Amino acid sequence: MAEGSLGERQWRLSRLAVAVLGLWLAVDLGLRLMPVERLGVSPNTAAQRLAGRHSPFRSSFSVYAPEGTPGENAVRGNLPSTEGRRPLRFSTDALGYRLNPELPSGAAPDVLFIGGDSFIYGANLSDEETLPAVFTRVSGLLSYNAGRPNAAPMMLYDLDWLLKHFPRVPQTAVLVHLEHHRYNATDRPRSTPGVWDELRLARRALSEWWTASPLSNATRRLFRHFADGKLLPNSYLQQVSAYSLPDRRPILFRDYETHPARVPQSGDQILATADNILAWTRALQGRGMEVYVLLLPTRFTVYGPWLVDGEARARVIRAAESFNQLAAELEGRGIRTINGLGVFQETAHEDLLSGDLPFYREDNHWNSRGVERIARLLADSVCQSAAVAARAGYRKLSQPCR
Amino acid sequence: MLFNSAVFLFLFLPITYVVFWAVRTKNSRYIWLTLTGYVFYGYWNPAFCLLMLFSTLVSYLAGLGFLRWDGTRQRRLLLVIPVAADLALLAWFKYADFAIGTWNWASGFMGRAPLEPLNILLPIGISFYTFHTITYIVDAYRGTIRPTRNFWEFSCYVSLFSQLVAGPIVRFSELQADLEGIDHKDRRTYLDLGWSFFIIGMAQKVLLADTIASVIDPALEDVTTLSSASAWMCMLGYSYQLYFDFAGYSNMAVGLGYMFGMYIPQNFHSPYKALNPSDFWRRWHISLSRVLRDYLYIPLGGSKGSTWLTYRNLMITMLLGGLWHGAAWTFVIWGAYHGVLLSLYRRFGGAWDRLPELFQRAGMFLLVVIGWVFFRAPTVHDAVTLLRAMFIPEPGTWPIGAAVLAVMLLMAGTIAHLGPNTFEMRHQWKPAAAAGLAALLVLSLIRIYGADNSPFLYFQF
Repeated sequence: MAEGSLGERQWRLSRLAVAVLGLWLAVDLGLRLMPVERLGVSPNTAAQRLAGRHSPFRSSFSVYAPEGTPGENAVRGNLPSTEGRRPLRFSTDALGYRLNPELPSGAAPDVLFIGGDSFIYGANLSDEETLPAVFTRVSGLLSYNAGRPNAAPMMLYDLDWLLKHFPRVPQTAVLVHLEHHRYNATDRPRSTPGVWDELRLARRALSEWWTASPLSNATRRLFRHFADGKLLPNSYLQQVSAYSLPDRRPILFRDYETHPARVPQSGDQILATADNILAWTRALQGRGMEVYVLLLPTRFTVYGPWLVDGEARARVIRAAESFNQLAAELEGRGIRTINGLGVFQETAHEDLLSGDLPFYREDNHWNSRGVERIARLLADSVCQSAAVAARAGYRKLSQPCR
Repeated sequence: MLFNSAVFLFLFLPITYVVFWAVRTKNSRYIWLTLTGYVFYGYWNPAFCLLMLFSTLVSYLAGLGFLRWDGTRQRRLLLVIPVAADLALLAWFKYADFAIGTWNWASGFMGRAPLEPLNILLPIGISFYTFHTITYIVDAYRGTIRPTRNFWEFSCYVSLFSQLVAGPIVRFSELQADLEGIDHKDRRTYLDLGWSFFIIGMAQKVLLADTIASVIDPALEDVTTLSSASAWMCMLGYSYQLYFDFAGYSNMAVGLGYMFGMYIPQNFHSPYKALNPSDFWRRWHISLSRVLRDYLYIPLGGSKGSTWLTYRNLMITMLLGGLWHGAAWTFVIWGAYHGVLLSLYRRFGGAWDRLPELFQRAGMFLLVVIGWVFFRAPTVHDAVTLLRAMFIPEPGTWPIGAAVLAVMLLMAGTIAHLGPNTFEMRHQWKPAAAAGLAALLVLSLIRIYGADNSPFLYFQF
């Protein structure tokens, strides 16, 4: 080496630096070993930590947030929360799936809810407000919540593992497809995990553990506090699109919500998505379940036509048309399809005028009113099936399938 | 992977360091540094590791060829083929869409049909590692280095993580002695020096550059709303941001080099203290300036021809230097601007040098700041708008966080214009100063944990 010199004092500096890094890491790891949900980590994130191999969440986990949780979009955009929050309980069952309190422990479920990411497992909803729970109350059919986070989608081998733990295979499956999910022609459900799946699983486990860091959360909050748009620019704001409702309250959207309108789907993409849904439908049917496909739009496709003008509005309308085209394609292939778009579109304008939406304004998910609407729509469709109705009648439920 | 990320600081660096010093032989250290270099690079996009491997193999084989064949024709082939391969990689990944965009712009006037852009993803650091391999081949051709027969030594040189994605552009000749002696045992010798460089570099990047960026980036998104004072504040801010971002990275690279027993040369020598354009380019991105001088300017004839030929050579060198930074016309204009400055200095340097030193420094800094407008602006139109705002007094808005920016400008300006650079420091810290550095490290960690990861500006080049 050409330059440099050694001194006793310098050695101390390097030891000091390593000690600082070591101490920092020790504090970080130490905090991670504590119940992170009590140290500012959101219930979802805390529940995803240390999930089982086939489960989206830790088993038998429960956390109660008396003040609810802030809207994800408001947090992302570093905006003050203006939306009222309700107390929230996030619990999981022994298998590591979101608990449906209406389903007695150990009972055989009639209906399995699968897909639909956070809409189904119920982000920002309390256990009793999730779709499977509300559907159980509305229809009388015992429902199991097999919803999983987007980062940990259900695979067939996960499904088989889950089914093995039920007393019997549910008679019905509700497969939920979210509008922004797009598939390639090669995307098919896999029944055995490959090497990449194993690596992805390991990465997921590591990433979920790493994400749930109280220290990181605390420092992030500190920076967000300074980036208040006064002392420092709020650079987080670019992570959301904000629109003002007639009552002057904001409605915030994330990129993925506006994506279907910004990047229209081609006919081939719609067909590829239909192929994927069909493959899942066949897989569920092959396991002895009747399948209903529930299509859920993004909030922007529902409300966009009243929020934007001109070409942007035309693009939202085209996105809605593509969504309806997918529904038609699925029905054309003999799949019983329930299109959630219409239910929300019917009242979209009035919802916006009143500010009383079936979705959160500051979060990308639906609220209990949205869940209720879809639960009723779903119950109407599912209960038309004679077999299901008979089964519900046989069980003499207090609110039997209509 | 970023130096200023938790995964680097708490996982990559400790593992790389411990294993490096645990294994003893040259080859095992070469192999280990090669592997870690590929992990470091592949963390961003594993597929692009193949590109680096390709570039490495081609240059290594060319090096073997130089050892084997002496004939002029063979040696020329050994020069041209691998350099062409490297330049082809660079041309495809970096300049293809630029060429298509330019063609489409021109075709609008000619009534020709536009071409579809290829939307090629630019592999991070391609400009740097292709320059590493090109300089190796050219030096081998010139006989200024003896190519290595050891593949692992060469691959270790190309993929050395400390200088891989944003330089400095270290030539093989500059690193060869340290690579040959990589099996030395005393890890303590330069460890403290390494940490000193690393912490200072990280603080420059994370605390100074990123804080300035948090104010000016939103303000520069819409340059049409800026007042003249705001435009100046933003451009001064950008000048310091760019300097502390890149110099910070270079210092971290130097520090990491020391930790692994390798001397990585100085890349910045207080450039904002420069007295004139020539002086500036002797101080700013020194490794690139030397490459441009030794592999482009001098082969073109340098200053040995007529005055006009010298100007031509300066302009070609700086235009290509600008284009190296980015595939956009703004970078070409920035390069041309500096080519003109260098030419003017060559013509009128005598008069300039007679001015008071303070005036020369301030004047040179002002000229550099004006040049950065083209470097920063996404389009030529934006650059012109920004220049207009700077030079034609206009009312407009202040950036949010102007007070913070003013404080940061004061701090950054004092360090950049009056303070010593990291190579001028003795790095023999008394306990209080060492504690101060440790405090800087803690502050940097808070920022790394609390803010979104901020890539280094020079990654894009």
